[in-house]
Order: sequence, then structure tokens, then C-alpha cells
Amino acid sequence: MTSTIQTPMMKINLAKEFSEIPGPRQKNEGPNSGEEFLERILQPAYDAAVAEGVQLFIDLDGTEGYATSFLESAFGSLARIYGPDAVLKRLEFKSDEEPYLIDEIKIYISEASAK
Amino acid sequence: MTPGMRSAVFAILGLIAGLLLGYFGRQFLTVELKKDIGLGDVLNFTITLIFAFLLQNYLQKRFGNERAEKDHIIDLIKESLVALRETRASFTAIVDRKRIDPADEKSLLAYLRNLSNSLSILQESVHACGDTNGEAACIAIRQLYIGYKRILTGGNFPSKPYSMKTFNDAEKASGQISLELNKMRIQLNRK
Repeated sequence: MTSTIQTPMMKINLAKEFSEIPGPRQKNEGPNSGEEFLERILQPAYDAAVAEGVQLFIDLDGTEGYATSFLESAFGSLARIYGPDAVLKRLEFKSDEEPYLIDEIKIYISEASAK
Repeated sequence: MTPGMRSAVFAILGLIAGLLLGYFGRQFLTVELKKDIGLGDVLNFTITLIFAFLLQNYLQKRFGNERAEKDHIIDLIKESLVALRETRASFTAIVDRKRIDPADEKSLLAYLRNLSNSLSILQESVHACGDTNGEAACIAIRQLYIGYKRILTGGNFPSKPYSMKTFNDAEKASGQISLELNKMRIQLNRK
């Protein structure tokens, strides 16, 4: 008999819960911005995951693509609030459609400490 | 001495040398051919034949596989170069229009995703072939790609048009990616 132990986690499906067309950096630049995603979805989910002591799993598939401005605004800003190390430990990503996207986001999170 | 006489002298000298060699050969060298063949000789001969056949097959297969792997990687490099050219063409068309429409934004992101996936497949294939130098080159190219994407879609993208500085930086970055991909191709061909 085999058993699998799964790490408890919260999930965000960005395409379903936010938008299939992620937009620009800030809210004043257009709809579905990184700033809006951070405030409305990412930061509350991050706080809840920390409170429950679980991982936050983010599914990045199903969108038309991500501009650096959106990613940096959402994930870079989250790292500027909580610190890059804490954010990198808490977040997990899935991107079957674009594998390099995960490395890209991790760079923006890591670089946030220097700002 | 006429040329005819010289030839005759050389012929006579050759004949004498041949006779002397034959004479001394018979005096000091005794070579005999065995007329009976034992089981050990047959086995020895058969094993040698089988070994030679297997060795030839192994070498042929190994070098054939290596060539197939090289050709596959070179094809993937060519695909990545095409994806890079398409991304660059999409970007320069937007620069020429001096504005970024929603359709431009969508197509540029699609071309970048295609380029990213081409490079990712190249990296995975190089890894599968066990080429550590090639894999290191792919990791460096991935960093260049992320830098290129940052130039194209960072800053105020897509709400503000590209500046001349962004255009120059992007051209330099795409040139570097192209250079590294071509270096990989040249190195593969030299192996």
C-alpha cells in the first residue's frame, strides 16, 4: 500500500481568477494591471497563506502572455513588501505553456531587495 | 654511358641483389606453412571475425547517433533564430508605428512566448544529449532572453511608445542572442 503526503497549499489560477489578458504595470495605465492583481488577489492570498502556514501555488497558464511590467509590478512589489526570501519560500509556480516564465518571476522577486 | 647501357647495368645490379637476398634468406630464415588447421585456430579466427564485426557496428552506430543528435540540436538552434527574427520584426514594426496598439501588444507577447519556448526546448534537448558545455551556453542564452524581454515589455509597456534608447538596447540584446546561438551552431559543427 502506498500513500502520498501532499503539502497543504492555497491556489491562484491567474487566468480564471483575474484575467486571461494581463495588462500593464499600474492601474492608471490600463485594465488588468500588475498593481491591481497584487492588491486584489495576490497580497490577500499571500497573507492568508502565511496565516494558515501553507504554500501559495500560482497557476500561470491560460493567459495571452505576460509583460515584464505586469510581472515586476505584481511579484516584485510583493517582494518589496515582505522580503524576497520570504516570498520565494512561500510561492510555487506552474507554467507549462512558458517554462522560462518561472525563472523570470523569481529574478524579479530576487532583485526586489536591491530597490 | 648511354641511357640504354645505364638501364642494363641497373637491371644486372637488381638481379644480383635479388639473388643474394634469396640466398641469404634461405640460409637464415626458415618459414614453414602449417598444412593442418586445429580447432583452436578456427575458434580464434571466428572470434576475431565476430569481434571485428561487432566493433565496426558499435562505432558506426555511435558516430551515427552523435551525428543525428548534432543535426537535431542544429535544427532547434535554427528554429530559435527564426523565432528571434520574428520577435524582432514584430518589435521594429511597432517602433516604426510610434505607438503600441492592443493588437501589437498581443502579437509581441505571442512572439516572445514562442521564442521562450524554442529556447526552452533547445535547452532540454541539449541536456538530454548530455552536452554540459551546450547546456551552460543555453543557460546564458536564457538570461539574455529574459533581459531582451525586459527591454521590450518592461518600463511603461504597453502604455507608452518605445524610445530610441529602448530601440538601441533591444537591437543590441537581440544581436547578442543571435550571436550566442550561432556560436553554439559553429561549435557543434566543429566537434
